[in-house]
Amino acid sequence: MREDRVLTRRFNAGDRDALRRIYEKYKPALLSVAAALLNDPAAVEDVLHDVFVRFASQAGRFRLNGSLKGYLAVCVANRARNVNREGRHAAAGWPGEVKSGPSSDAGPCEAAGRTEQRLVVAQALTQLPDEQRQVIVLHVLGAMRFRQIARQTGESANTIASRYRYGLAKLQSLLNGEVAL
Amino acid sequence: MNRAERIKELLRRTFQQSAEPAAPAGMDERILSDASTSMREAVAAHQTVHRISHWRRIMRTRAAKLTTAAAVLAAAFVIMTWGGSGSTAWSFEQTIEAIKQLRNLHITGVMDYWSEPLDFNCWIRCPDGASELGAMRLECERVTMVARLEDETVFFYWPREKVVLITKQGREIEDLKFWYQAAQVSPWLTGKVVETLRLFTDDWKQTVVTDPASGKEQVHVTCSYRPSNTSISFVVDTQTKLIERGKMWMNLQQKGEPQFDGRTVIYNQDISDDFFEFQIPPGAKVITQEDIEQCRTLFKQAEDLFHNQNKYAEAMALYKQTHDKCPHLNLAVESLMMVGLCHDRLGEYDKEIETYLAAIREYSLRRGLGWIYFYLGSAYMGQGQNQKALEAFESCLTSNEGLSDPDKFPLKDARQYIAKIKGQ
Repeated sequence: MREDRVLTRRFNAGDRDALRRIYEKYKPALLSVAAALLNDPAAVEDVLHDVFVRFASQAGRFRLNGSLKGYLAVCVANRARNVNREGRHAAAGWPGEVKSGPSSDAGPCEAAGRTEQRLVVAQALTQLPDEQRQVIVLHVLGAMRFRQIARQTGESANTIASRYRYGLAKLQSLLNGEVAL
Repeated sequence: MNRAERIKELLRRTFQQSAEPAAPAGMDERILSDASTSMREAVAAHQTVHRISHWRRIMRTRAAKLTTAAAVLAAAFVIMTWGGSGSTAWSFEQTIEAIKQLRNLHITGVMDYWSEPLDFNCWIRCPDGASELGAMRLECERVTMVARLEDETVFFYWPREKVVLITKQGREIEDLKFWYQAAQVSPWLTGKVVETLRLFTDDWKQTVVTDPASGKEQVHVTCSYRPSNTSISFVVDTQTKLIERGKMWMNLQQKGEPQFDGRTVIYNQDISDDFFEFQIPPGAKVITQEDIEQCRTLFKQAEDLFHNQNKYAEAMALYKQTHDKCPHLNLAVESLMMVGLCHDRLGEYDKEIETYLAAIREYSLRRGLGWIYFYLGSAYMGQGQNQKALEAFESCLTSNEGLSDPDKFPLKDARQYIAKIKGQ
């Protein structure tokens, strides 16, 4: 948090190194959030690009209230939801793309099995209502607490917790029998 | 691990590991490049807005200071003369005894008008309790102000520009009423003056001294009043029991030159009632409260177009209307400056310079044009006319000397640009 405050101050002064540090620090988490919320992996760069350019456009007047990571994660989540709604990336190409990504050291059979599993998880996530999907992703992948999500989204912490519980229960039932839990 | 934990782990395995390698090559540099550009533009824009806001705040504060200060000074004299603080050497009761019937005061001295010392005359008609006809007339070379409680109206007249401004129920009247009422709360006959004054003022101190020149005994009083951010000192002659002179600062510490330095006080002159009437001089342009409100609305709309919607041509039209409607208001000077900045945003740099020059010509009698000189210098620099830019930046320093913090915009920036040009 202290580093974030310092980074924010430098960022507000127009320090490019601070911007780069913020990007590098939170890129992995934001990529995960974007990947889990988008229907199309090709949109990941677009979303991250839009969020960071918009964030950068607030330089000089950005006020950090709470967690910088949380703020950016919610921006990514909101942008991802809009992209999905716009339908520009509606094609469900994500699972197929994933196979080239992870575990290059895995054998062909193992890699195929993981790809299958990801396909199932990704499809299950898309069946959740947007609000529940967003809370699960921000909590699990963004490592945000319910209170943080509540603050960033303007909802009550109880609402966020409920969405998480209902979403997780639905995810369990969707994945039941599909993957080994 | 329960099922919920297993799902969470599954999600992490699925997306945390997959997202990073799936990121397209060169993504980081593309994003950072665009974000850096966006950041640079945002910071530059923010600095401009910040500077404009800073200028605006100072302009408004300075404009308000004159009338507020005059009202406070005048009413403070009334209070000091009506009320009092007891001591063995001197008390207000004695002063009041000296003035059984306070009808009016006439104060003369030197006032600070935009850092320009000017002689002033200020007459105060005290409310008589029954009809409450309190009034004040302040005159100096640059401005005449008449404030009347009777109809809650304040008239300003700027003789050089031949402009009359009429405001009703403005801040000046509120200040004047407040201080008059303060005096009335504790009429001296009740003997509760001390308590009331001590409630009003902070740091009340009085000392008895002997004037080295005349050998007369005097009482020196200092006090401050936080809500108005003012401090006052005055001197009472213990023989006549009258206030001889007084000063008022627009700060609590009596720092720097006083806003008002009242050097003589004359009590109960023969002043006719119509002295506090205001006659509009022939040929003067009259601005009313309604005009001011319309100007403020226009200006606000222009600000929204400029700062939030980036619609500079539309904003420029409204800024021009604001200026034309009330050319004497500080808002008009600012509007003209904003017209210049609109031209700048539209890439019309010649027109930008013409606008700043026109503003400087039109408001040449005013101090505090440093912000306009600064933008003029910047525009010249943008066109490579460094000699003219240098002159503009130097005018910026002269125009705002004593008005702006030398370590802040625009003086600080002007000095930096001057050094840069001279270093080339």
